[in-house]
Amino acid sequence: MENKPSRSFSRWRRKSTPYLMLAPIMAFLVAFMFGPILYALWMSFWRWSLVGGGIRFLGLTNYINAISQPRFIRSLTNSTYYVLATVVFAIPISLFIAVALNGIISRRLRTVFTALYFLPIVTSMVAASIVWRHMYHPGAGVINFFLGKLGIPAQGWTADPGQAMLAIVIMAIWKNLGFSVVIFLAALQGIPSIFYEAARIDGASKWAIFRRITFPLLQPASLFILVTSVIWGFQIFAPVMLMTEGGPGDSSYVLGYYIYQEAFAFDRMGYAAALAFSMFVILIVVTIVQLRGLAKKWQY
Amino acid sequence: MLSKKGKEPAEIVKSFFHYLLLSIGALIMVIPFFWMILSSFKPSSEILSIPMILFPRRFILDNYQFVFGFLDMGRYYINTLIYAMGVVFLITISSTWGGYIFAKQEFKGKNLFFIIILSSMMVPFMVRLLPLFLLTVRLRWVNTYQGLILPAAVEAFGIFLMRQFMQEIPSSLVDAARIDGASEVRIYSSVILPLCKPVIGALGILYFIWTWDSFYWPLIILSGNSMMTLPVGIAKLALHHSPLYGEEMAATTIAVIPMIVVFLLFQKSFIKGITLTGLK
Repeated sequence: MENKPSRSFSRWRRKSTPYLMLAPIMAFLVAFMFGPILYALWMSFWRWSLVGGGIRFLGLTNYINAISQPRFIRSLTNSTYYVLATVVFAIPISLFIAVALNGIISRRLRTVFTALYFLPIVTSMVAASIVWRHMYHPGAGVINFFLGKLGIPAQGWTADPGQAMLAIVIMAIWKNLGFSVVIFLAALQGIPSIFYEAARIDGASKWAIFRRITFPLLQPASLFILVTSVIWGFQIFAPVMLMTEGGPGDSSYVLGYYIYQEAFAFDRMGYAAALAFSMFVILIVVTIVQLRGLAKKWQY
Repeated sequence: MLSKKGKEPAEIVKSFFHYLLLSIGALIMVIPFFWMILSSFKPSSEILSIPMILFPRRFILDNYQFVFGFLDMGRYYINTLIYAMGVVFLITISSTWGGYIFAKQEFKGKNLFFIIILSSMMVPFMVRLLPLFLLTVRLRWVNTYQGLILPAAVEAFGIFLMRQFMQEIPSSLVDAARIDGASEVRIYSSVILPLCKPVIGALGILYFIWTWDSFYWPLIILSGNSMMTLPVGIAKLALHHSPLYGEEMAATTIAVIPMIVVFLLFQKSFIKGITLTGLK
């Protein structure tokens, strides 16, 4: 009889323990993640400035203003261009490098080469941007120097509105390549060699082996790289700020830089929040489409 | 010796091209580093000379002298270390704790909570940026370590990763400890954590690299020279009105080289850190 209340108490305690354990994590996420997200949505409906003017309700005006701003359209196109370029070029290039690295027989040599391709990952994007800005210098830069050796005329790079984004993309591919190379390489090494042997006995060509065995087995790694590339790509900021400051003109504005400028240079917090939220919605749609489409296509 | 079949000429040519391509690629990867180091020793007349001068004709240390006078590099190093270590420490705790809950606890709404937490991975930092900034201002955390570190203390990705790993730990171990009357904190710290050492190391290295590289948030909430991290500090130099190429190259060299040395010493762990995360 005496046991009863305490037993039910202990059952209650056992049931509530997981929630109590989860509480600190949820508290943190509410304070620094979910709370701020909702607050950003709220801010996006206001004219919100910190220094002068205070706040005033605007409804959807910030969003409507954004769509009619050439600079927003420019930033959106450039961010999309950046993401597409890094996905379309960087993923095949890094897969190619990973396959080449995987083909090295000597373990030592493979480690050395892998280290060289990984090197930019341990430097910061800021440092890389500063160095590349100098390398892109039309007259005194090393890139035009090498192009000249190959017989290609000097390019404007970051000084040319038509090439500024391309210059940023090339730098970013160089900087981030090692990440996907290393992931692809590990995935390649995880494929049991028995698969290859069986295929070789069946007389499959090298290309057929790659297409039918290697490529399908690389899908989890590819999907991971693809999704992270898109999410990170839309947030690109440092190279734009340090290499071009969005210029020449508006030619290399991207969403991250535009938001930063509006919020901290022009004190239009509400408008910047609307920009950030638009970007969020686009990213959600793109990610869901990716996961859905790929999940369908890659079900074997 | 076993007789080895001699390689066919076509094979030799192929492997020659294999290594040639790899070497050209590797050269492209390291050229920027050589360029940076060489330029850091050039006087500005050589830096901006057309046609370009690759090797410094006059080898000078003025750029380094300027950097040490203008920037407090030692301080930036300490700040970046405190920032990265603080984030790594908190993320390790929150990720393992969260991972333990989702891998080894049963409760109603578990999947819902998990999906809610995971969904935050899709949120670009810029969405949270402005409210976080207002919050830090309100808390008077601008230009402090807590303002820098705390918003990054819990990461859905880390929780996800640890959960994936901990699911492979047999539940019987946890159940046995529970029957022995061990508290959840006790099970977490003396059963789960010791088994997760390798993956904790990997997670720590990954977040160390990312935090070391982090720019947006530090740029916004740090103002004083004494609080700046390396990326913010060298960016300050780079955003100077007139480009100071030689000085910038000296500053980036100082910022980059020690990290490269650390990487070369612990290459295996670094690469394991990245691959573990991509393969789970």
